Amino acid sequence: MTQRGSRATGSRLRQVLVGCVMTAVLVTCAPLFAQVGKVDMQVPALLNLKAQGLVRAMIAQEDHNPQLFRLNGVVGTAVGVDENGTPIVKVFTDRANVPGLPRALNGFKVKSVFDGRFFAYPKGGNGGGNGGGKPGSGEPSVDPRDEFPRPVPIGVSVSPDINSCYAGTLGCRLRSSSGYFMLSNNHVLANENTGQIQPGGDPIQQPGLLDSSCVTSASKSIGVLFDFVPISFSGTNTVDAAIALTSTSETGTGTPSNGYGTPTSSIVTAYPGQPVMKYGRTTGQTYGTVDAVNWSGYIGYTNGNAYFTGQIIIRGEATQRGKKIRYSQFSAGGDSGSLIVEGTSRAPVGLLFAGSSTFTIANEIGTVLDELESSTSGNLTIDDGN
Amino acid sequence: MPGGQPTILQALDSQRPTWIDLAGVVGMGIGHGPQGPEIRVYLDGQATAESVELPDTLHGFPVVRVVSGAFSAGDRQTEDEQPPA
Repeated sequence: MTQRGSRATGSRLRQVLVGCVMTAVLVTCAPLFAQVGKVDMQVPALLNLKAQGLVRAMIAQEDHNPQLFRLNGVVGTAVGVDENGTPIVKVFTDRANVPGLPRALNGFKVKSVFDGRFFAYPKGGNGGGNGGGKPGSGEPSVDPRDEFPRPVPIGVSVSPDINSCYAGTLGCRLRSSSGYFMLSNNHVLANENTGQIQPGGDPIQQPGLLDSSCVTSASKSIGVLFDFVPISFSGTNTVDAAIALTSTSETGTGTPSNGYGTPTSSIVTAYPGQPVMKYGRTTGQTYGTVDAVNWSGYIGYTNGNAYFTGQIIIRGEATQRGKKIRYSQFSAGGDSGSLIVEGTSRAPVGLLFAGSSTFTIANEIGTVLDELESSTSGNLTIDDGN
Repeated sequence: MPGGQPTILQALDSQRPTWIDLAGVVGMGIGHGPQGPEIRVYLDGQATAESVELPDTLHGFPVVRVVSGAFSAGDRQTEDEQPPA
């Protein structure tokens, strides 16, 4: 939470760090940190002339970013050097010949770079968020519906190996003194209260049946259903959660390479306005904001409506250059079971389980762990691999 | 809080059973708006902000209507819900 206020400063500092690396100047960048952002800052004397030029170019870039980003077609800016080693400001565009671009900024030449591969964030929507490796990197695309080498990442397709063809998301790996578990929803791993738990628990396979042409395969098993919290269709619910027994060789702790990485083991409580993100089987990595907490209401299931209290409600959003640009889809069918983490710290916040066309509902992750602890000898925690 | 102003959670909790039974209401929670904490009431796609009889404030807390659509756990994807290619 405390990191939210430092986001803009952090962005600025990252640019300085990048600049320092680019120039390979063998001096510390630390003296710059306190001064970046001041138009008239004094460039430390220990930097050589080339480095001083780059820093001044960065100041010119920062000062003019607001005007540049108002131009239709501008998608990014950066500082680089031309063929002579002279610092320049690069303006990335998504189209050729963007009108209104200045020739120079504070005396630094402006070079327009038409580069359609430049994206701020992956797209949301059905399958849109899993759109491949790093843009322009040549890395093979990553699709969370695919079969992954073991241990499989979190945020990918799973389902029980039963006579019902569907798929949800592997939320994360948990651990307790009694072993390792994968976390997802009751309605994913236990098929709405009908799953068979140990002994002889239902096998859980990756990818899920829907992503395996509805064909079961023992070779795809990464665990067995261990326990679930029953969903009540007449009383009040707080979680839609289930766990399957797994191992460190079958289930990993981080997302695929195009996701946010590994969640922290320490969890945080949701609050209105909190920035969050998730990685899920259908929409990949998406971003959103907590719209409200202590949500209560009815959720539709195959077997009827169930009343939930103490929930988190999230609104998806697309961001560009660190700013919210529009509302967007946060989740879709198949993302159930995704772990929702805080946008800045990667600290777990909730367990995604339901949604409408515009909002997503999640259980409080602390409640999920509390509800499941009784069956796992207590002390159930998010496993960060450490 | 005996004798005092209820908290926003206490205020909302006092109305949850009544409001959830109103036609068009699918849920409610506590958000944060321009004026501070507020009660948000989520409405199904058939409802409009004006069609559900709710107060504008509850114990001084704003009551904001949000058309969210109905919620389902259909986020488990089935064969019939294949996303477009």
